[in-house]
This record gives sequence, C-alpha cells and structure tokens, in this order.
Amino acid sequence: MRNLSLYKMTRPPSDLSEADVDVTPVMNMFVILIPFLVSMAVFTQVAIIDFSVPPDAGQPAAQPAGKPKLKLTVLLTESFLGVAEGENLLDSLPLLANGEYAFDSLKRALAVRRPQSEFPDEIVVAVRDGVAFKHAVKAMDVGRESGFTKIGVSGAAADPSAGK
Amino acid sequence: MRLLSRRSDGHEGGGGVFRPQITSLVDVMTILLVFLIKNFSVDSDVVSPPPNVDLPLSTSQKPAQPRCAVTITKDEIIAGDRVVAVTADVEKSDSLVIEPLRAMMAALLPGCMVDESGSVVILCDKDVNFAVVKKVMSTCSKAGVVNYSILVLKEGD
Repeated sequence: MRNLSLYKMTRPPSDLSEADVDVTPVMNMFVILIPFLVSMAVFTQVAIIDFSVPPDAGQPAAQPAGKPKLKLTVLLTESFLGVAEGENLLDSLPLLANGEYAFDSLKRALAVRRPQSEFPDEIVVAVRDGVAFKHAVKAMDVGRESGFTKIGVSGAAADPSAGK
Repeated sequence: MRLLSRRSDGHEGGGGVFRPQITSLVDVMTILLVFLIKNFSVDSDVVSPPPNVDLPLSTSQKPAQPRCAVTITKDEIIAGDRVVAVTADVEKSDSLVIEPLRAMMAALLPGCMVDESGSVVILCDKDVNFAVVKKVMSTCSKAGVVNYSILVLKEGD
C-alpha cells in the first residue's frame, strides 16, 4: 500500500510526459547546413608523389669520366620484377601464380640491398614499355616504404645495347 | 497511424492536430551532418581529377599542390585544357617527343614555375601503357620542366 502511494507521487504528470520539443529551428539549421556541407565535401582524397627523371630522358646518356656511382634500380617488366645495380641484376622476382607482381618480395629484397648501396636514399624505378602505369606507382610506393626518399623514374631498355 | 500522430490518440472522434513523428528524421540528419563534417574540405580545388581518369592508388600522404597539369586519359593527352595528342597514336609513335605537347608546355611554362623551376603534375589513368607516360615525361623535360609529380588516390579512401 505504501509502495503504491509512493509510485503515484513520483509518477510525472501526464501533461509533462506528452510535452513536445519544438525541433523546427533545428530542422531549419539542418536544411541550410547540409547542402553547404555537401557542396564542400571531398569524397576522394588525392595525394602526389614527387619524382625526378633523367635529364635527357630516353636518350643515350653521355658517359661521365671516371667510375660511375651506381644507384639501386627496380626493374619492372611484363614478366618479372628485378633489383639491379647498373647492369648487374641482383634479384629477379617472377610474377606470382595469380599473375600479380611480387611486391612483398621486392620490399624484402630492397631491405637487404639498401644498406649495401652507395646511395641508400635514392632509387630508380625503370619501367619497360607495355607495363601499366599503376604498377610503376606501386613500385614507387614500395621504394618509399623501404626508406628511399629520392625516387627517380625512367624507361627501361628492352635491349640495353639499343640505348632506348 | 500511431507513428504519425500521438496527439490524435487522445481524440478518437477525430479533429486532433496532425503531428508527424520526426525523431527518426532528426536522427538521420544528425548522422548525415557528422559524415559531411568529416569529409568537409576548404581546399578541394587544388587539383581535381577529371571524371574520365581512373587514378592509381598509392600509400602516399603528401598533399596535392597547385601546379600545371598534364592529363593522360585512355583516349587523349590534355595540357592546359586543350587536347594535344591521341593516346593510341603516341603509343604507336617511335618518337620520344610529342611535338604539340612540347609547344604547349613551352607556352605554359612561365605559369608553371615553383621555386623558380618548371613543375608539372601528371594525372594519368592507371591502365595507360608506361610507354605513353615516358614520352610525356621526355617531352616535358625537353620543354624545360624540372620537377615532376604524379597525382594518386590515397589508398583506403
């Protein structure tokens, strides 16, 4: 009996329970704010990758006097990935069974080769004709993730003696 | 009917005030507002990729900067809002220099200076043959461009 009377006392009056909050100003603000934000929204985030090209890209290079210092080079062809230093192919990574490039193996190979290089901050991505641009971008990403800060891009000769 | 009008429940004889239940609408609006604020950007017009270019994905986080752009789509090469070459023709060509592009870049170069050197950003479709990109880079180099960038989509966005 006592409990029941307490319940009655604490129960809110029926008018209060049905009180409505006027949300019209909030809705007005939403209606103005949402078109503004939609117009300023960016749904695709873009970034850039800086790189350098050889000064005479694609032309036979003049041989400098003395022994040239060689940069580590990632060779990207239609059938394999390679890590080279000058004309010496250090690592050759064939395509995976699914036809994709072995970029994970490339990362491991670069981690091994980088401390041995004369230019531990510089790498050249040499790409042969016929390779899709996205693979060149991925190779540049792998180079940057491996610690190389200066990335060069060049074409790779199908026949090195042809020089083009 | 209960969802649309609470107040009319008390007046079964009709004539009650029609009050739509807008709580769920406010909920949707609030979620939408949070999503749009997250994607809000004041510098969205630095470089905008054209709709017919499918940019490659990259893990690069370096923000885009305003520079002269050369766009390579699957069909054509565009510089300064003008089509300068057809991609298929450039791919077949033996020459490393695209003459109309070289002339256009030479004309645009005074407006492409960043840190007193010619700079260009290349917007290239991800499936374009690298042979085309190589020829574009070679042509820009002949025109005096020194600094190169490529525009990419941030991976995961």
